[in-house]
Amino acid sequence: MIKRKGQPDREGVAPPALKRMSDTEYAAYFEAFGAIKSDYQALCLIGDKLREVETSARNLGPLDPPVPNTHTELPDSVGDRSPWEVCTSLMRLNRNEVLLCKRVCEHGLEYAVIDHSPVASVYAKVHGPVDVLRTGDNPRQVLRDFLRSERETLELMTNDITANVRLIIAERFPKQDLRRVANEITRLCKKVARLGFSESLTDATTQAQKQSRGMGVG
Amino acid sequence: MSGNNESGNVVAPTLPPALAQTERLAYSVEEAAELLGVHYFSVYRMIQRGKLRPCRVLRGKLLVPRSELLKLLRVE
Repeated sequence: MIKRKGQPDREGVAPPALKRMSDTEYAAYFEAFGAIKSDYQALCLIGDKLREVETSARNLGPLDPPVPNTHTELPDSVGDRSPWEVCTSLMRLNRNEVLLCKRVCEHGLEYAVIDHSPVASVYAKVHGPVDVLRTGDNPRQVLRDFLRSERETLELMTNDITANVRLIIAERFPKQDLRRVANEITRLCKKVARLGFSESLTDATTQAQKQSRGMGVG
Repeated sequence: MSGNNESGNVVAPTLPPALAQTERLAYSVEEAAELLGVHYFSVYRMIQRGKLRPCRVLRGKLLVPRSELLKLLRVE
């Protein structure tokens, strides 16, 4: 149900929270939000998944046994390096899956966050399906750096979506001041993309080490 | 990417027809993702990491130049 007030509806067009909207503003709001609806939903989905990763990272237990049935290996063709062993899946976005992996190197264990693309994709045919996003010898630090980077990527995506909103409004409602509408949609997008992780991960380290449950990285 | 096929092995890609035949100069992030066969958040990651250099059109919308896609796919 679409209402003029209330919280954003992730399934449908978000109802405006603006007061005293004119008919033009109301029309522009739904026109613009309708055009970016799938992007907004993707933003919600990715934000939710990253918050799950953050929660998992807080519970990361370095001495946990690996999760059974996740020992898929991803080959690394660079030099004579050993293949990556999948510890856990962090998130899946249709064709792509982000994985926390590890492998043995000369200094011990090396961890990586990997963006795994479909093998048959044009991109993978050139670069291979394994795109290493972050590496390090400390899985918690690797996840922390990954999450920080993802936050920046989310901001980039949010800015692109809201730029599209401004373009749509300018095209469909020329010569009208609809900044309130654009600003409101921008506010909603930034709200769902806002992530509170990274800074708190260090503080959670001690607590996580005391716990024996959580994401296992072996 | 710092993973596969970066050790000097140049792979001749099969360009998607839309990229091989088109006269377009640039694509939206979603269109670029479709051409590359990946999720569009991965394309945003590539932009964020400097693997793809976008151009910004009016009001800041990101577009990926065709030349950048061809460079990424090692055609140019």
